[in-house]
Amino acid sequence: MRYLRWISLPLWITALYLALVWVPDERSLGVSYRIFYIHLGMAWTALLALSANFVVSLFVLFKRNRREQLDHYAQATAEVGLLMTTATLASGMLWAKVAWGAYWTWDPRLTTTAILWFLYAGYLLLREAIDQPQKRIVYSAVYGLIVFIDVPIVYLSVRWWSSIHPVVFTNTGINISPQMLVAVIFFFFATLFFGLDLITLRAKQQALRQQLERLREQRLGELGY
Amino acid sequence: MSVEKQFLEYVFFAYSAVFILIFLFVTNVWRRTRRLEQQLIALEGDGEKEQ
Amino acid sequence: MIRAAVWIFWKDITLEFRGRELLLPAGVFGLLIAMLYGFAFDPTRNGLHGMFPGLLWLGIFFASFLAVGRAFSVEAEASGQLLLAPIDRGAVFLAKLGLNVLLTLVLAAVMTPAFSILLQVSLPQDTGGFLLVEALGLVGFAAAGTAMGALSAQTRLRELLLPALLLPFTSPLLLGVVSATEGLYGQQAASSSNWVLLIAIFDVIYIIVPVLLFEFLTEV
Repeated sequence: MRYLRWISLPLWITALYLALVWVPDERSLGVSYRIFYIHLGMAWTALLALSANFVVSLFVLFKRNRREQLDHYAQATAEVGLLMTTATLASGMLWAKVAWGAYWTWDPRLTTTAILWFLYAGYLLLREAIDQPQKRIVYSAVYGLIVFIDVPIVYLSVRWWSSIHPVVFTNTGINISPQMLVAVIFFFFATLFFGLDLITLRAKQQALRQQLERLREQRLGELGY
Repeated sequence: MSVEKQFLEYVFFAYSAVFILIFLFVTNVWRRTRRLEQQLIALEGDGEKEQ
Repeated sequence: MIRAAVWIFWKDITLEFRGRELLLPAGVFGLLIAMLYGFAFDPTRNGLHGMFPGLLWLGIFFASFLAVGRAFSVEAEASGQLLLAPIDRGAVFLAKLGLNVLLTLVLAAVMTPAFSILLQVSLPQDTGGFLLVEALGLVGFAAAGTAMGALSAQTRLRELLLPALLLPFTSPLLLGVVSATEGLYGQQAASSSNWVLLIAIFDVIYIIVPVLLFEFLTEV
């Protein structure tokens, strides 16, 4: 959907201006906390994309007659979710270096995000490894369902675990002022619409590829192969 | 190097890391879509010629 | 459904007794892990008490990979004849789950004393609690392994893909069993009972959900 692009582009520009220029520095973290805006936008969009993957996977299993079209969206949401999770991890690690003094801490959210990354990397690996199209659709949908249920359990266990092993940083936390909230909201919608645009683009590409494959088979059939 | 400048560097790194990732993904998708479209046009063109 | 499950389970047990394809290599591998840990960490010089729960469970998990992945690959290599039989699909899953639980329990029964002897760390005083943690943890691992094994058996890579799918998936389980075992040694402020509860929840979810979804896998 092309109009998504024309919504997300001005939103991106505004959000970037708001987050990098307009909002004042934070008291204890100074300029560095500005990473927070892109980090949060990416993280929320990633979670939404992966939740969408769960919903689409459910539909794939129960709406038998529309499996192929739905599967394009299942793949697209997983890929965009993984992309955004990677971006969350990258920006989060850089921020952790500034705020906590180390690239990696066993903070529950950070750890859960990393495991989330591996789970959905596994999703794409599984897709890659199944040759038969029908099987690929159903198997990856089942995997998507099973894995999504795992995410809250992972978060719970990691939180208990890290509450027992005390982490050696002082989490000062940010007091969100109204100005910051505006920037956060703008960034969230910018990344959200951008994510939606990417998902539809990728899904459309998959549909195109399928059409091409059909046509090719048909042509080969006509030529008597 | 002042702390403030170091902080700015990290902000710059973080934003560029995200944008590079997105750029790579988007260019990849676009390139593949273009190629598919071309193949599709070529295939359909072939069909018409022979008929 | 239960009858069919028992029959398939029996078939697999008989096959295993005749061929000994699963337990022997996995068991030898498990004992080797204990030996290699001994070489790598030198139990005579450093006390391994603090690390023992983690070492033990990682060892058991790694050795179990060899066993649980095979349950469905065997059927895939027999070109899926079992799935053509007119039986409830959930029964197939339950039978494979039963096989995997049995295999991992046998593996753990061999490996736990071996680890204790070779790494020179005594097992927790609370034997009942330890057995409960082991049983629940292994049931959870077998359930997750059976579900992921069913998926990966149909891929080009077969068992090669399994660790990449199963390891992140069972990470809460690993945290649970290691922390619960540490709790049994009295190393943690928190009691093991919370962790046992978490493991039990994991077990219940991943026995029920795959049984429900298994139907879909066999249609295609």
